[in-house]
Amino acid sequence: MQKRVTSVQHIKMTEIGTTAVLEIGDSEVITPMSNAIAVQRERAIFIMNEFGFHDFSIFSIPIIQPAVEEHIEMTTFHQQTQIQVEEVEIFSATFSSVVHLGSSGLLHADSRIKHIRHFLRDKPAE
Amino acid sequence: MNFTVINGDISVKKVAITYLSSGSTFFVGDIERVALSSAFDTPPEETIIGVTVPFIEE
Repeated sequence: MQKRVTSVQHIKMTEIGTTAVLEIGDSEVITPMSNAIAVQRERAIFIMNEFGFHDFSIFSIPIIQPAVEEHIEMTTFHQQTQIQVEEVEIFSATFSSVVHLGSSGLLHADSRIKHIRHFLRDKPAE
Repeated sequence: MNFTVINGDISVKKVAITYLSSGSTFFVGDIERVALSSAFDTPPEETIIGVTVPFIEE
């Protein structure tokens, strides 16, 4: 596939946080992966290493992608050789997110998030 | 199957994004293949109602 040139006149980014990428230019393969456990507790008591990714199946179950059986012959024509963007403004990019100015071959992204709420209540009488 | 795409002119004035997070991608360009997967578990499925915080051995 013929790829166009990406033309961005101005980009403003305030923050690139944990394992985020700002890619200017072409790439071959992008495979960002993100695993997160978010615990919200009634009282702010938090212990280091309290939860592990191996404790929850959500982080290990394979997500099967749909298989394309049919052979598709795709032809793309571009009337212009450029993709024009005057201005990009991004406040924050974090946790395996990618800001990509340019073309690529394959994007394969995977995100797993586990939310836990913990309420502190008296045990009901047995 | 034969599949033909004709891309016309594209000119964007401004893109404003507040947050990009958890494996999300902002992409300006051409790409051949995109495969995205995501799993999300949130209350009420995962709610703990307990007396104390769990005791963790060092």
